[in-house]
Amino acid sequence: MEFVISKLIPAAATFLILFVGMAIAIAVGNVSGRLIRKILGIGGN
Amino acid sequence: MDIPLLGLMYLPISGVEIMAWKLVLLGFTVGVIGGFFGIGGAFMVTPALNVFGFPMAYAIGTDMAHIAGKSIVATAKHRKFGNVDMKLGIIMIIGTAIGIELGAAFIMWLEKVGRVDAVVRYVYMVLLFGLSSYMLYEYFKLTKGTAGEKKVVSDVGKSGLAIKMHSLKIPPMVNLPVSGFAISIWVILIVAAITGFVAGFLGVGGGFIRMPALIYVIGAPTRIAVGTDLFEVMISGAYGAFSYAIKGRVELIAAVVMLVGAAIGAQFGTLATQYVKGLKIRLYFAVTMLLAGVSVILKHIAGTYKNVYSPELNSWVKAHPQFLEWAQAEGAKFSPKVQVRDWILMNKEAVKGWFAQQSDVIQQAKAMEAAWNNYSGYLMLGVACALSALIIVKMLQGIKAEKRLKGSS
Repeated sequence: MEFVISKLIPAAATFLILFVGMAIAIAVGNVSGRLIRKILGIGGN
Repeated sequence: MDIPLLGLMYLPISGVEIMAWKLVLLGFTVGVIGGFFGIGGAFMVTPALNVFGFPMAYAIGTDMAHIAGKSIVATAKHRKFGNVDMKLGIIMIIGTAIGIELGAAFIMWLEKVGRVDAVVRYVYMVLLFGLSSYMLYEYFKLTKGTAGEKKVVSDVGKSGLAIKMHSLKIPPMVNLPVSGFAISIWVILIVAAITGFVAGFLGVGGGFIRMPALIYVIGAPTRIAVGTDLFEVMISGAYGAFSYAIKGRVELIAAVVMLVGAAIGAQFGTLATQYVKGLKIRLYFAVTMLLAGVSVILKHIAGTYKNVYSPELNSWVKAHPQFLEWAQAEGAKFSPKVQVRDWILMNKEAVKGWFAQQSDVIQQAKAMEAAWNNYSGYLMLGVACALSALIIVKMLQGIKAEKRLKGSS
């Protein structure tokens, strides 16, 4: 029980925050990528 | 004026207070550079975070987490452009993993037999200066015209060494259609293991060694080398981020804030590889490595000042009753050296008190160490800002030239 509270829960919370952060980054990357191409007037991917 | 989301923020894990815009800007600049060169850029982020007031251990962990996220964005973009050779990348990962383990084991052995920090720093310097000099030599050799005019060379995939490597027909041979050649699997594995060994030995991601190795030894075209290396950085960065996160060394809020900047920066960097000639990418990379070498020299000077007081400080910490109690509770999670370093980080006031009681020589050495560390950090911060601006300008020039060409045809 002590192991779950002291190790597993903090590790799981850390993973979760990191995953959420990465998901946000990917979303921001996609949106900004499209926006940059639109502003620069270039097509493609 | 306090700008919402970009103003002062408190980071609870490391206890650092920082303006969020600094993290976004740092993430953005290194995002541009990482996407353009196919590297993680830890050699820039870690000293810059240190300058912003992050203790070194947290700077490394936070940097790892931001690299992992940034390289996912940049790799996805490079893949869309056809710059990632997945087959080559996967084989490289196997060799790199073996090499990193061997490099880390070698470091452990060196730690037992003697002073490891200085050795690592010297190897780092030799590598940075050696690599940058070779790349600069290659660049000027290829662009130097016979009649005083410069040759127009957009990219030169195969060096003499790479041609020799391709001629080695040791089975099994691997066909790499994306890179455009076939090569023995053993060559890839050995090159990956050597670069991995160096990365493990230096305690870095290793993108700055792998990218030139992919070009000059494996013979991959520059853009493929950039994309494929980023694919590797993504895997190693994710592993490193989780490993540091479990040890509680990642300042999660800072990493996420930097990631947002990096995700936007990576778009610019990746796009720029489509508009800047491969040979120019190598030139900028070589200059960056050269300046990184200068930064390591500055760091080394800081280290010589640290040597003045660290033996006495370490003995004081080891004899401190609070440390003994804490170290016993911690168990054998970290080595005694790391435990002393961590305790110093967590007990800043007590350490400050110790310094106040020391001689002028020690206090001066401490001040000089901080000053030289700052010079090193500011140099890398300056390089990151200047280089990312240069990459964006070159990209815009390339887009303009392409539009002019399309308009005239």
